[in-house]
Amino acid sequence: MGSDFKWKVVMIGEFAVGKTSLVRRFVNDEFNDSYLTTIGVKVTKREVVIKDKVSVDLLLWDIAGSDKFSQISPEYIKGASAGIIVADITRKNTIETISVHADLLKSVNPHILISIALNKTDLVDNPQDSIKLYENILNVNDIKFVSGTSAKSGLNVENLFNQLCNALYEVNIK
Amino acid sequence: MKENKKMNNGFFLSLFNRFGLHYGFVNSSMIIHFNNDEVCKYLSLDNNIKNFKLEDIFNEIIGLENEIRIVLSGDKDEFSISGINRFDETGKIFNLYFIHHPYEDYQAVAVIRDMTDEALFRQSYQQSSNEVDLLQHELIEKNRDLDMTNRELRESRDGMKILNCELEETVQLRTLQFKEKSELSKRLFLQTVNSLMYALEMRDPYTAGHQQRVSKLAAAIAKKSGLDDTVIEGIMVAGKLHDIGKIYVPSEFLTKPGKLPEEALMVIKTHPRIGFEILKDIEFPWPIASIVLQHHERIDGCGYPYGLEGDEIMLEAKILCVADVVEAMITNRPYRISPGMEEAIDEIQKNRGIKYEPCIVDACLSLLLEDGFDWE
Repeated sequence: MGSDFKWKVVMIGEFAVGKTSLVRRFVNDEFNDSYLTTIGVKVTKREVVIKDKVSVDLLLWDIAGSDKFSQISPEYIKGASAGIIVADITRKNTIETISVHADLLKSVNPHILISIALNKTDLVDNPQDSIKLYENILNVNDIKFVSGTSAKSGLNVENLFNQLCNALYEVNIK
Repeated sequence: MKENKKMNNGFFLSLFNRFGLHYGFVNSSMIIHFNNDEVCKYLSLDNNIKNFKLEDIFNEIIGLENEIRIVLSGDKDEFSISGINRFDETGKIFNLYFIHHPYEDYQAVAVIRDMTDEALFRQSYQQSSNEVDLLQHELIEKNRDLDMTNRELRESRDGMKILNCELEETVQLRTLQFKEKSELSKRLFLQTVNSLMYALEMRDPYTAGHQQRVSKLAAAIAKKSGLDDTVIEGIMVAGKLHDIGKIYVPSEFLTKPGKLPEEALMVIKTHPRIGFEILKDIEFPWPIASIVLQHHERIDGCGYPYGLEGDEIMLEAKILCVADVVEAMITNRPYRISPGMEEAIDEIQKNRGIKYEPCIVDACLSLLLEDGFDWE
């Protein structure tokens, strides 16, 4: 039996912020500490059930992080229902570029639903304090959610995607 | 037309094989057809099946169906997805191009261009560069932490300095206050001792200045004998108070001219013990009460009140005894004229080692005969 919805979700952000780790934690429930930069785009599918009855195929586009060699191709963002901008809560520069990534998502797909994951919360004592610290940076471009996540411990990862699915569902049934 | 189609497909085949590319044909039903085994092998597909649902082979096109339809209709020549990463499954990285078929309506050619080697080559550079950036970031963070720690250390050191200065000032102030209080209490003590001394002299004007002079001579003898300053200070205070017990002796006994009857003498002889009783509960830093009690004892045991002998008598009391005898003999009393200094000297010389401690007598004689002791 086919799924009720197929949603493309793009994961973007600076290099080494944990995009691949978040996808691995969400899809395979595993984590690897070693860092291997992603090349190109890796699409992973996971089926989720929302509202206890709605089956959704989430196609997670793990896109190579932007760095001095390459910028994210707008082609990757086409057709995406949602975008998760991932930043490293311990690296201010990765948070400061959130608005640039949000602008890119909006420019390709004006109706895209954007969520932010401040990853690696396991490395800070009080993640909520850090989130408050960057409030002015985070409150831009119609950001739907801001979540502190840890791909290492799994904290808030499931919640991040579930929140996103529920929001997408609300948009789609309207 | 059919031949033409075959010819065109053959054209693609020869062209792509020459450049090492793979290809398939996509129709309007989004079915992809592979007509050679190489591409099936490349994508790890079953060789026997040639037609697949496009989204089953390429998940990456989900959400992009419209883009492909536009290419199929010929409204757009090409659409591509670059860098499709299948590294975990097939160990491949490829670019996927959808190119409108030049000779077929609603058909597109899906071209797969293997980028694995190029991508891996680029990845190794990118990986190194990213790792260097991460290390730099870590270094900057560590430097910042170090700077912060240094600053905190500096601030705490400055704080300590200020605290030390304040502490030093407080200690100096407290020391000064303590010194002032100590000097005040010393002054008050000496004033109290003098007041007690004057209180007695008010009752016995004939002995006015006696205690003061005994105190001075006794202190001088102690100094001459090489005693410690603290002991000398105690002897000086004991000298000023040594007759305090006479405060209980009726003043007519003290001022009565001529020889006193035996009963009166007995009363007068109680004054060392009464003096002890008066002074014993005062917390002097010296044994004043005991010195006062023993100042009429003699080393041969003929003194009073207890007839103590030799080392049973305190050194301070022995000194006070000699000073008291000398001073008493050089001043007039109501019951007799002063025998004079010569007699006084004779008395202590004659009884040196009998009634009086020899070394004390020697010190006293040296003061009186050689040093020209100044009573005032």
